[in-house]
Amino acid sequence: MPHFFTLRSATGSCGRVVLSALAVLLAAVGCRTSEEKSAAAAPKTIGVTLLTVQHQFYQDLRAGLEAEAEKHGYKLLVSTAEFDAARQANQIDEFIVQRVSALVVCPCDSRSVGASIAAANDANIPVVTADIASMSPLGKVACHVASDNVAGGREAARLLAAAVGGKGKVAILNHPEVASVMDRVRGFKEEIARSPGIQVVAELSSDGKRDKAARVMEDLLLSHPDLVGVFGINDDSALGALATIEAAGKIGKVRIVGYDATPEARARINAGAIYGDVIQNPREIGRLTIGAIRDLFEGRTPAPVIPVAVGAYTGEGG
Amino acid sequence: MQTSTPRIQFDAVTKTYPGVRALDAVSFDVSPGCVHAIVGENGAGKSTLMKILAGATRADAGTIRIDGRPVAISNARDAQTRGIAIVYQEFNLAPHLSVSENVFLGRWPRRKWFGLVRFAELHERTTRLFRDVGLDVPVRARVETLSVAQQQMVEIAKALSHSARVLILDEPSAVLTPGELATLFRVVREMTARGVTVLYISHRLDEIFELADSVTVLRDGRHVSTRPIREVDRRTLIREAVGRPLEEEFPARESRPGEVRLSVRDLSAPGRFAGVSFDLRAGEVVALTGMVGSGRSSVAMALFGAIGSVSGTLRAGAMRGPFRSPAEAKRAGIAFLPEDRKREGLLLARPTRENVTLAHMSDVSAAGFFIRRRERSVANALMSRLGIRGSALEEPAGALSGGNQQKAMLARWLQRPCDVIILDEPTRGVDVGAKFEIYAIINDLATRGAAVLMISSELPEVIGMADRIGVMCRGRLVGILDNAGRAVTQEAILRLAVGEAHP
Amino acid sequence: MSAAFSRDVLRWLVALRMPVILAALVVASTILTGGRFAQLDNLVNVARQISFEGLIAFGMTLVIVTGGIDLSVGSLVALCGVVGALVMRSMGESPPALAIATGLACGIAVGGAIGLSSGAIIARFAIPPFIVTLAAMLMARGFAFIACHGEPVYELPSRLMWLGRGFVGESVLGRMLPVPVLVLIVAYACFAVVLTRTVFGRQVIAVGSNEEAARLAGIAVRRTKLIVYVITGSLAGLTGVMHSAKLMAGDPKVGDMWELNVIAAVVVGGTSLFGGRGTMTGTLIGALLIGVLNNSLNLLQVEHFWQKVVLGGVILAASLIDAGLRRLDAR
Repeated sequence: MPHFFTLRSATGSCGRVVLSALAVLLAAVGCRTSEEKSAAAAPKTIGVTLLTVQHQFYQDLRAGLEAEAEKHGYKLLVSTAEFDAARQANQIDEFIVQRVSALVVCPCDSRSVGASIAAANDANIPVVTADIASMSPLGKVACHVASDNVAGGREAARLLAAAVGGKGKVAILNHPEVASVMDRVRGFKEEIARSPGIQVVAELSSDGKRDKAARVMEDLLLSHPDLVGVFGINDDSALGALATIEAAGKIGKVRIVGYDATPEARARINAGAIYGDVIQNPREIGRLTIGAIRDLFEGRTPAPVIPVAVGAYTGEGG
Repeated sequence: MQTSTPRIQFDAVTKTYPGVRALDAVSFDVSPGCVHAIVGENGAGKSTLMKILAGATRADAGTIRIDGRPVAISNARDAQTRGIAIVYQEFNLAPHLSVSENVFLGRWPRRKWFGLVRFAELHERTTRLFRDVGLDVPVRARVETLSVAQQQMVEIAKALSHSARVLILDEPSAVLTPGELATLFRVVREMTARGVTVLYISHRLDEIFELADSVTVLRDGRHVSTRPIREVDRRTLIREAVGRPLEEEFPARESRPGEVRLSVRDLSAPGRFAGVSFDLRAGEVVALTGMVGSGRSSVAMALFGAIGSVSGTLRAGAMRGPFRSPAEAKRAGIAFLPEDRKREGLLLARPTRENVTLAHMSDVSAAGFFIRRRERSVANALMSRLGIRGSALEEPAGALSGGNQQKAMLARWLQRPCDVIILDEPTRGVDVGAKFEIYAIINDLATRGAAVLMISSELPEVIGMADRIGVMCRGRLVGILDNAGRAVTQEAILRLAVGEAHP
Repeated sequence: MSAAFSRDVLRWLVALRMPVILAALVVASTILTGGRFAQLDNLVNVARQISFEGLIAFGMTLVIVTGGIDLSVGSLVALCGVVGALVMRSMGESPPALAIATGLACGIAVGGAIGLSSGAIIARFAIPPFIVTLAAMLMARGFAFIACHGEPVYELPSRLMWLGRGFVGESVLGRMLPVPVLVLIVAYACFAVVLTRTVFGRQVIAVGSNEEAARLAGIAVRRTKLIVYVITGSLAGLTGVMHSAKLMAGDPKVGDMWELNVIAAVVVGGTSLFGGRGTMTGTLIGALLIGVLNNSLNLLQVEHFWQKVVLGGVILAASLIDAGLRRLDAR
């Protein structure tokens, strides 16, 4: 028995740490050489960190990025932060360590992404933001590619005004944490003010998520029984609102305008459940983002902001 | 009875654990329809042998014959089908289920559809079973609402519901009061009358002489003797079990009471006890006894600040109570050994060393940091003073025998000289030899000037050890008997304990 | 003799199970990523990534060893990060060092104070820690948004970035030792000593092993419980301010699910959720295990949702191996 105890204490906490450290070090030394070889003739790699891949919009944006990158022989490393700013910071750190040639960032948070962008700048990696801009004083963004969200908001207001016949109470399902959404809402409010018969009676956050939007819509229907229209800042918000309106039997009484025109939203527009959608062109955003990076690689300076036009979708052929 | 085939024959049963030979070619016979007691110190092999019989572990070698036929018992189900049932010290009951549900656990009568339980039939079967053996326990009550004795009866009924022919009772009396013990004896006799063989493990020799027909002594994994009970006496049994003669069951001590160390006046705790007053002097051993539920353990807990809302006055040295926490009582120089070592006393998974130094860690540390050398030497010194081998120091406390666990608990409080020491059932589950050692330690403490308060339900121990005996009944201290001459009778105590007499 | 020998081997295996699993993962990651994983700067990066949640994990180990749990740490990171950032921004006129020190102190104090209130309620009213800290988690998250009106707090002193992204002795060591990693190492050393060598550590273990026995040995059980929650809250506060330094913004949304990541690291490291058993070394290794896994999955370009599946699987596997070896050892 005493024999065992000496053994145990030798392999106690101290021994364990040493062993783990050794394992890591051995691995580090062993791999040094193989690493140096691979760096030379590799194609340009571009690190991408998306806000999420759960939204159709980002899936399309990603497809646009990938198609264009393939055309030019760039290698894309795509990761997604899923709304977690801390995770996004880690992903950017990892891309810096991997010495990518450029970074595409769709920020989770317009403010706190700045420090990570600054870190990339330090490592001489150019950063292009897509869809959502950095609003941080830190870090230098080479180019920002995004839908013209203010114009998109105006388009939404025009659609909703037409849907409700220019009068009545309307509500906004907001997501104020996101800068692009703030632009949309700003454009929406500016344009809706031109229809004096319409009042914006409520502005609640759906977090851009369908379940939250459905719950918020329930509250809205109760507190404003005479509501005639609702603007969802993305299609998940619009579809969540639709679910509640449908359940309340108020389709046609409360008109909905969404944003993005995902396939599901299009189907509901074609069926008449949603009045219409503002269309962004996420594929185009992706294409132009890689285009901006190509400019950077080839020594040209892209425009600091590249706006991507929006349109409206109100049914088959519309 | 002597001529019939033995119910059980153990033939050269052997079991080895790493480093220990738990059973060394043990052979003896058990007759049908009798109470067969098995005695021996902890570690003698009693539990191992019973576990083998009940299918909880397997023998390395040897055979067991039931009614003359060799049987292989490889798991608990095997044992059950051969009619062997065991009631362990720790009950295996589901506290939130009813008595009937527990008795027929896993074998509830079901309806054809959806497997719904036929509760009426279940309760009726249980009632019938209970009536057969003369048990009086409400079959619909939830087990957690029952007393410990009633729970034990449920365990026995559960064993019998498998139509057991052999019933093993492992220290059944450890949790019972004298009154409850009588019920247990009655049930056991009822069962033997029906032809059931009862294997009865106990440290209490009184019980064995009262109940058993024959007795087997095991020592260090070996069989020492098997004899009809009328051919042995108490002395012989102790000598055979311990392996050396014991002069007395209780070591003698000269009583020289000194100043008052603990003064208790009108101590009350609502719903537990009321109006308890007594003095405890340096150098004396006072016992506090009574039925389970009479409040004796609550008094001990109250003195140590371990239960709340206690009123009255309490003086220990310069400090006044009732104390609000055990930490405060500790500062007043009071030490306390709780009744249930495993639940209230020890950190079973931690080394014995840590258990021993737990109450006075500041003595083996400086500025909050342990001085490992000092801790080890202090623990070592205490253990050797109490006769525990030093190698146990780094073993988990849970691996020690009951006696050594109790000594480790004592050691915890002997690190500093204590003014008052309260011991709640200090020898419960402790074997004969270790009992004697614990008595000697108690006497030594008193001789060195400590005031000892011993809570015990074992009357021979109370009479053999105490200078004065306090008896509690329904939350009141109904009398304090002077026992300076060790002359108080069990009857006198019992009469007070059941509320029949006033001194 | 040979039985004794194989038993010794088994003991070795049991004692070293976590490092062995970690080493296996490191080797596998290195091979699968073609060596990219084991590049020095990536290793430094992994170390930095685990240091935030790892720091909290040491406090959480103490809490779990007492048999408790603290679900509020993730929200506390957000709240304390925001509070620290607000303080630092409001002191924009003062010397940056003073502003940063005050911000740190305030963040730690807020975390400690919330830990104190949770601990006090748990100790005094015997309400399950799960519920009390769940309530604290919700309230702290709410206060984080309220304190900054939902907008991340930026325009912080520029020198703050050193705390989250800087390196210790950069001129001598190069970019070897990030500041958060140094904090993690120092904290590891301190907490390992606290748990194994101090009276307080022994009290923590005693309370978790057998609360009633600890109480009846005269240990101040309530005070012990209180302190572990204060420690954990303070660590979450420190981590929150450091994380604000990393992002250069106090963001009320950070720290989502961190409490579960932290608990996972502690439990994977062999600490029992039932209390009484746990080591700081195990927790450190548990945090490393999860960090290495996250990093190599990112390097391998594994899809986000598959990463979750793999991470869950590895946590389960590590726990199963742990339980299996323990059972083998107990025989």
